[in-house]
Amino acid sequence: MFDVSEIVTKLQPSLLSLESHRLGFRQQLKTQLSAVGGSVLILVCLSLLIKILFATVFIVAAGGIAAGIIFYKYNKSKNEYANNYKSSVIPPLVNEINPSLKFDADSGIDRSSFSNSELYRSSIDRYKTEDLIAGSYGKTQLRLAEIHAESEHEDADGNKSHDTIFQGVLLIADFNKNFKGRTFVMPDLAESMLGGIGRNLQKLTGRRGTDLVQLENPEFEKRFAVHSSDQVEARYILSSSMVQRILDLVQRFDNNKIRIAFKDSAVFIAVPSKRKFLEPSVDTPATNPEQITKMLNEIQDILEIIEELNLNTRIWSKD
Amino acid sequence: MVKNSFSSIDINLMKRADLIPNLVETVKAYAAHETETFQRITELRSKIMQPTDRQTRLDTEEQMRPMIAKLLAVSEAYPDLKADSQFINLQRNLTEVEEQISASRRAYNAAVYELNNSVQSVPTNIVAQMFNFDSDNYFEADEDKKESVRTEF
Repeated sequence: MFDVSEIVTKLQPSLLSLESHRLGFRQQLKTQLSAVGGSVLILVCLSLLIKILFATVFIVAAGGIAAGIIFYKYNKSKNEYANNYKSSVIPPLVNEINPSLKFDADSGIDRSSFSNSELYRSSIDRYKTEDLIAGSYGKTQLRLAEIHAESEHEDADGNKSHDTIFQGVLLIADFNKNFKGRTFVMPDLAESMLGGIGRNLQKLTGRRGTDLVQLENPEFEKRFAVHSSDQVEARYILSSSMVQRILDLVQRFDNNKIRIAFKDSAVFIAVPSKRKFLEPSVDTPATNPEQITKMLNEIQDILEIIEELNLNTRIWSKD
Repeated sequence: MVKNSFSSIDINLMKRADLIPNLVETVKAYAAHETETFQRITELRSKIMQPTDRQTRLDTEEQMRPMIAKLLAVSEAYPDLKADSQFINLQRNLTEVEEQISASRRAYNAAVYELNNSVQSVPTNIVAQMFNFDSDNYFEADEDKKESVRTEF
């Protein structure tokens, strides 16, 4: 457990500076919107009095453009605030959790690593990543980052739009056993919706070069479909205790969309979430300890996966 | 698929058998008086290396398992042995192999389950009869055989 008040005390100079910045641009928004709003109101009244409709329309349009510029600048300030907050506050938090871990708000997990995991098969047209935490946690080398991957599609009229493939946090960690093949643990929609027919469909829907693996845990089988390039290796990785750990992990996150891949002696865990990871709220004072607690919890929630899956136990031939 | 699964068990059992001579020599260097254990384990290993039927082979392998556990347990009385890097390495390799054997058995049982289903269910049982496919037996652990070299992780 961390003493948040101690952390807040240590970060006090940075937090005060951030708070001053936050109050500044919020006040600026209020002031500028009031000024534009007031001016538009006065000018519209005047134009109505002198009955020049064109002027009224022009004033309202100009007011709209001004408001647009104000909000654009506000969003820019908001992003600047978030970046400053992340650069000042999160590295010490990460260091507090484990000094072997480093945080970089501007780095992430590269697109090729994400594609290489084969967790999602859609081709990626737009890819954003940030908030990288990397280093060693106990005996496990890891990196995790927020990712937003999208695919583009065009409708019949030629209008393009983007669909989210994955939005959330991807954790890549060094697994505690050596293995050569590829094993995938995916949420099981087919069997849960279609029963036995679904199970037969699963045999056809695996990644290239993989076959369906049926394990002994009925609860696990209900929630997940496992495909692997090697039936024995899949069971070597997914021992009965590992299977139970995965079930407990999914229950802790209360998220039935978690996907796991085992590849190149590493484990890839995708935790989808619509909420932004490590994003400070502009509505909360920077000095508010609850915000710090929230950030600590978000980071620990992901890092706990390492302990939960027992990845720091190194009793096999891999160090 | 059943045959492939069994050959996987076979390969992993041989891997385990290959680790035995090193293990015996390493433990002997610290606990030479455990002659009865060394003798028994060496005898079992020689028996495993000889060609024999599947069931005899498996029975011998099952006798080997508690002997390996006993040999590893010797290290509890000899801190120098426990800290020996070769011994630690062997222990890790053995743990790995035991888990691979367990995984092979689970894969074999899964293959047998599929086979037995196919042999007994319509319409695949028609094809099974045409080609004389028969159901097979699962690997089952007796109470004695449940003792592992290491707890599964």
